[in-house]
Amino acid sequence: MSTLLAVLAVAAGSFVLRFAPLVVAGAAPSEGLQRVATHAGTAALAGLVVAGLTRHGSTGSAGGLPALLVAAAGAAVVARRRRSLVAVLVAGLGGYWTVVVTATVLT
Amino acid sequence: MGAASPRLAFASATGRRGRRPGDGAVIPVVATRSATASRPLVDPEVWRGARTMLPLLVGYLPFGLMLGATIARHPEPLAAWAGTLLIFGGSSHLAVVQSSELGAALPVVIATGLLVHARLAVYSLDMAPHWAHASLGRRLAAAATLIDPSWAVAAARYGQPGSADDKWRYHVGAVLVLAAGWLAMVTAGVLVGGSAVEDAGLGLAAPLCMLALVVPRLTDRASIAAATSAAAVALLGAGLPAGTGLLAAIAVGTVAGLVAGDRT
Repeated sequence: MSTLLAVLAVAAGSFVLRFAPLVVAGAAPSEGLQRVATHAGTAALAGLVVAGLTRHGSTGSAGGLPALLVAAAGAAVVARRRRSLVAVLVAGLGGYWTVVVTATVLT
Repeated sequence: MGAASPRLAFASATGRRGRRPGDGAVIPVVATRSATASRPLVDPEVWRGARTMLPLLVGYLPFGLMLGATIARHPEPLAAWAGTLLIFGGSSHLAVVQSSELGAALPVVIATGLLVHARLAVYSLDMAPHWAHASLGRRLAAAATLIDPSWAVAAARYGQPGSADDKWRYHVGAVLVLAAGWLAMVTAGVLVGGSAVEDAGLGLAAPLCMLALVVPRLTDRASIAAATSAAAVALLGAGLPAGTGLLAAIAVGTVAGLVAGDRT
């Protein structure tokens, strides 16, 4: 029962967090507020990238840090040139597995 | 599916079709049938949004399965599973499931879940210029479905040409795929568990997709300062509990972006 209460409370609270800025900022979003939102969005995405990579690295994934760095670098290069998510995934995961296989063969 | 890969750049949202010779009013019945036949089954913008979300969804597969496996071990699995769409956020949901499983007091469980979701206010603020003047129904629906991938995909689309309705339909397509896929993944995790997918390296797909979304935003010194400082803080704060490292990264990155912007 307490789990259901917790789920409902977090769901309600999360909804308020999601909905309140749409009401409060909706009146007349100032230029300063827009700048904050833009930079916060960029920072959030960058933080999510690093958090995701470190979480994957902390699971003791094959290839270790070199594989993660190659995956991120390959994906970043492709993302800079093409805006296709599939191409970015292919480059990133392809680089990752190339390092993993190479390391496995060499050891 | 096939040839068309999901892209974040959009040329047109109208789904234009060429006018065929013979279409017209000469034989009204034929003209009517032709118009009906050329209408797509799924709205082109909804379809584009759905297609763009699919690769991101693949990236969340390991996490969804892992969350499901954690729910399966919970003493109240049905209540824990109910959070899949109610909370609609894997990290916060996982925090609630884990802390309640460990016997934490109810206020602590709730506070932990909300702290992890504090970043959603930033996402909502980012989308406020686009959604704040929409109808109440749209704002409610948008708020209920705002989470990392849906925000990232919507933010990219709203920066592109197109009408507000086109962009909204695109968001709806993306969110429908996300909600259905997320529910299916977590439920599959409850039923079968899932560490094998993580072993295949697919856990990397989500951060790589986010990388694809952040790179196009790095257009000036201020945005680069925001991203690099946020990345550094996220790296240093990776071990901090309940998503506080990510919150710190957002705060520091925002300030760095503002300062760098003022200096240019």
